[in-house]
Amino acid sequence: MDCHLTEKISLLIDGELGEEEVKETTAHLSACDACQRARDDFLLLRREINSYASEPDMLAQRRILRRILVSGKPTLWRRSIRLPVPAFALLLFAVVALGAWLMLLRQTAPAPAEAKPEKVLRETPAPTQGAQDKLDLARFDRGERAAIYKVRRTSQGGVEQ
Amino acid sequence: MARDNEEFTMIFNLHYKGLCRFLECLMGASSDVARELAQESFLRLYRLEMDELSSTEARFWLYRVARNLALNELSRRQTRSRHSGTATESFSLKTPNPEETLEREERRQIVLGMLKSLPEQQRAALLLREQEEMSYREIAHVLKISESKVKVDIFRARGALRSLWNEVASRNTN
Repeated sequence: MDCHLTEKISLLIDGELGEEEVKETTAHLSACDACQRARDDFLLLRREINSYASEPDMLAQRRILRRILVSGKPTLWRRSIRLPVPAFALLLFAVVALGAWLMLLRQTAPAPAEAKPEKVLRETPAPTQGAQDKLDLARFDRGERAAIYKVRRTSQGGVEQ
Repeated sequence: MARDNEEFTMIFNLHYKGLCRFLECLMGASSDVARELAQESFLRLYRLEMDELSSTEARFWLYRVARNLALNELSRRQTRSRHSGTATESFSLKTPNPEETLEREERRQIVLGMLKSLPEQQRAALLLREQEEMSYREIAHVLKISESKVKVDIFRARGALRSLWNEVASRNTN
């Protein structure tokens, strides 16, 4: 018949009890036949399991070690990159976000201006004799953005266009 | 970067024998397969790109990987044995005295047979405790289970083995 404290005996022989529990269990053990039998059986089993000896051939052991050392190192191409899952998820998210941002940027940007037909430069007539005292700015006006007005100040202070 | 050869050799020499024994007991004999699996575990450790793995941590890592390899091998063998029956196991004992060999072999078979009757997780926990002298915390780390589960597994394994042992002993005395 087993005692309800047999589990404590298992912990005791494994050194897994605290100081207080060791004292209590040892005191109980000295008075309990069932626990003493359990302890003896557990220790006997320990010896039996430990007596199981694997005897690998030393030469074979050395041969295996040599084989590992010779063939073990992976080439650069066969190496794998280990990345923690959160870091991988973050990297993946960053790549997707960057892609989405680039797409959005492309959609909102103005369409490239259509190619304008080449403007034929207006032939500017050579200034006439009468207009020589005035500066004829028309030759600089190619009709694109600004209209250039010729302004001449009169002697009375007025402005003649 | 792979670990230094010198450090690896030290770890290999320190744990190879123990790992072979653990695998043999876990799988129920077949020292050849155990050696193969131990070699595979060490090869993986050698290729591991974790320089910061201490030799203690390497030991836990080795036993964890070896156990996973053993579980895969066991399930493969179960599938195979369903088709081809049970295979005979061989041991490479080099004891000159044949009588001693026989007795030892018999004892080994009893221990293995008893261990084999346990659920795998109980067996692994008990072997790590009794043969490798790992603490419950270390066993929990290797098997990736809680310490309380280790405690329960070891106690149950001992209880089951105790019953079996007493059964065998009473059969022998009769």
